[in-house]
Amino acid sequence: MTRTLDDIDLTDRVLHSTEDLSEFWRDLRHTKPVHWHQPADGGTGFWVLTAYEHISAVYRDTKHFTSERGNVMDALRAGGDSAAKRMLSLTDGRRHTDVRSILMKTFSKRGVEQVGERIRGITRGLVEQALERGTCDFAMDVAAPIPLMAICDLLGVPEEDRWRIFDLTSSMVASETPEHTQKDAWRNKNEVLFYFANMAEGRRVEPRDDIVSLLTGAQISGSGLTEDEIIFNCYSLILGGGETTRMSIGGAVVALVQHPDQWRALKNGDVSVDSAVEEVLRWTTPSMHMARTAVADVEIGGSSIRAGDIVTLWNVSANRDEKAFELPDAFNLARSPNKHVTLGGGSHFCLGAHLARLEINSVLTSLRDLVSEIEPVGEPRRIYSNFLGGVCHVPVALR
Amino acid sequence: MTQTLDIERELCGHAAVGEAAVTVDGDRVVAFVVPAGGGLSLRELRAELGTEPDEFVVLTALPLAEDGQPDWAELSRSRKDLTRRRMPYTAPRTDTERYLAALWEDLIGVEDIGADDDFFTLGGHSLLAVRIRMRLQRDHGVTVAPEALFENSVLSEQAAVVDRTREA
Ligand code: HEM
Repeated sequence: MTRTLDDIDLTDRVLHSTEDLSEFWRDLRHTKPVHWHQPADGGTGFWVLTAYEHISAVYRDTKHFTSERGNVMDALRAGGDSAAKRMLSLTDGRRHTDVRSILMKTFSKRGVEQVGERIRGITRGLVEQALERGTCDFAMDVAAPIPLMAICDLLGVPEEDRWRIFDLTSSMVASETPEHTQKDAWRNKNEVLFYFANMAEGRRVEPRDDIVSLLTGAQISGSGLTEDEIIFNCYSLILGGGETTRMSIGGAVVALVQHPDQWRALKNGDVSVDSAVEEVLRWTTPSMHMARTAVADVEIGGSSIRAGDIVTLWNVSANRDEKAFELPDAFNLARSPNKHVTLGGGSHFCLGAHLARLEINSVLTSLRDLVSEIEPVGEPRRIYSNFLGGVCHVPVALR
Repeated sequence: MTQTLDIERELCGHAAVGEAAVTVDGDRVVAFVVPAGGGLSLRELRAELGTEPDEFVVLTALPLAEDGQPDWAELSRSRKDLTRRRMPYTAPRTDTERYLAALWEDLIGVEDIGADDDFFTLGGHSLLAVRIRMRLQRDHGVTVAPEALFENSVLSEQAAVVDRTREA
């Protein structure tokens, strides 16, 4: 069934995982690329941008748009994010540049190479184990541990706490069941913040070589980061670093199973792993949307956006825009150029981009080198969310 | 008027204050303050000021009008909004209630917290709840489950949870 503008509610967390919206997005791109959406719940309405051109322009337009009230639909519609101005992604201007340059030490291309050997080793080990067992849930057995181990290594979270943190964070932005209680989400977020608040207290007294110590020891024009900034940034790194990459890795395997010619191209070395990583990022688009608030009146594509309006940027649509990509609905690992918006753009461009690429690269490399055949042994299961999109269970047999 | 200007000047010079705007409403001097970034204890602020306002309203940002001056209409709305969210004052009765009331006052930036006030209604959020849990751990040696704070958001209920957890 093709959905139309009138009967769709983009805030519905179940909609995105149970329906294929590609027709709907194409329709919007062609007929109303800048569309005012009034959700069924009667709450705050917002703009829905679906064209690549407009979306990449808004990412770069810091004059008319701010991230300081929130950067996802739900938080903005609820009146603003409680972490506003205290988390890198929710800070603009000078402070954003200063905090970003502190973290850049760890997340630059050279910085992440420090954990490169370890991540590649872990990935190889996980794929070997899956091969030995014959069948596995690729999403849980391989896709989940890699980003978790990587970001926990960097943050300094000890091995014994990692899976508890995973359980808490994985149910925070998305869930594996359609029912999702507000209390559970609040409780889990609270536990994670509490964990890092305690950890930061410890690192103040006894610094180590990790990001938490980097943040507690950092100075910006003579003064340290506030307690809030430290805790919220740790929280954002564990969420941003774990959940999104897990979706891309799981989704990569689903796509390779569905496109045997592309799997062969990867296997035979007809395409480079680097180029395959970019297509996996475009194809899976884990951050389905990002959002901004207009701070001044501005016109986009003939529509007048007013100061104060919420503007949502649908990456899932931009990445399939026929004006930006040749045959956008083809999964083509050799695609070039491939300027997808999966990692955002402009000043808030994903801080973890090099790490995410390294992680996905390690998986594709291990699959290419160790696996000869991937066969589905069950239906993949998608998560329920209106922000994060992807698969949480991918049953396959590896040979 | 010079009184409001004096208070404003003093507030703006205070390390814990980012921005401030002071006005008179009827017979009350009202100070709107934006914390500098870290914590802002109104109790400590009062102790350090030469002249104190009658009332503080803590904001995350100072709304500005077109001309760059404070947007007084918007500020007055924020103040009314805060008053509307308060319960009629019931003095805290037990040690735990008094301890929590002082803690909320510091963390949320609202004065005269009473036993019937509600944490969420007053703008309490996850990180403030984390602070409460950290302080309870440090000052009372009790670790309260986050869902217990979520379900018991009225001060007197929260105090009862703390007492029960300590006894258990
Ligand atoms: C496939 C995996 C990933 C995807 C799809 C993704 C997506 C994004 C997007 C779309 C943004 C822009 C947000 C905005 O414009 O408001 C962003 C920013 C960010 N990402 Fe990622 N991300 C991924 C992996 C990671 C990893 C591994 C980390 C860290 C360990 C990370 C940390 C961050 C941070 C801290 C920001 C905020 C940057 C800023 O505001 O300057 N991400 N990410």
